[in-house]
Amino acid sequence: MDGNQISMLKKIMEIEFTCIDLNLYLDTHPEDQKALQDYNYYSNQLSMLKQQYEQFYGPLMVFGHSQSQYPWKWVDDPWPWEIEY
Amino acid sequence: MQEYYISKYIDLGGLKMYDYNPYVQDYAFPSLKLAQAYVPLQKYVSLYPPEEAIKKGTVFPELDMPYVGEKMR
Repeated sequence: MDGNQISMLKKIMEIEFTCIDLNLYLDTHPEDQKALQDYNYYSNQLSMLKQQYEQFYGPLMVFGHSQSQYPWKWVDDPWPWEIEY
Repeated sequence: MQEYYISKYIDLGGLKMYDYNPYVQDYAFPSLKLAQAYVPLQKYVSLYPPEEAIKKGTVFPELDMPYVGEKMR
């Protein structure tokens, strides 16, 4: 697993965490425009990062989220718990 | 906008409102008052950058209150 793959995964986890926390804030403050704006910004970043990652390293989630290149990429190593960050 | 959500005021020492409730009587300590709890509504101030937020466990600086286990000096 190369260093670029690991740093992309870390970046994805960081942005995803920020999205989740903003998600929770917005649940109780649905009319907060600034928060919504930030949420949309990070959400958009997250989906771009995931798309980029999947182009290089295969799907992050299976069916319904993204397609696979040939050959089938889902079963490729390493499994999530085998990654050393 | 409402600033605070204040819980129901329950004062078992003086309040007769709950006297008829048999369940409350099980908890009643007439000499003691129950606490009044409240949660201030969070305001949107600023965010930690994502790489810092994930380490702190929150994106909101005002919620970053690590448990130290002793009195802060």
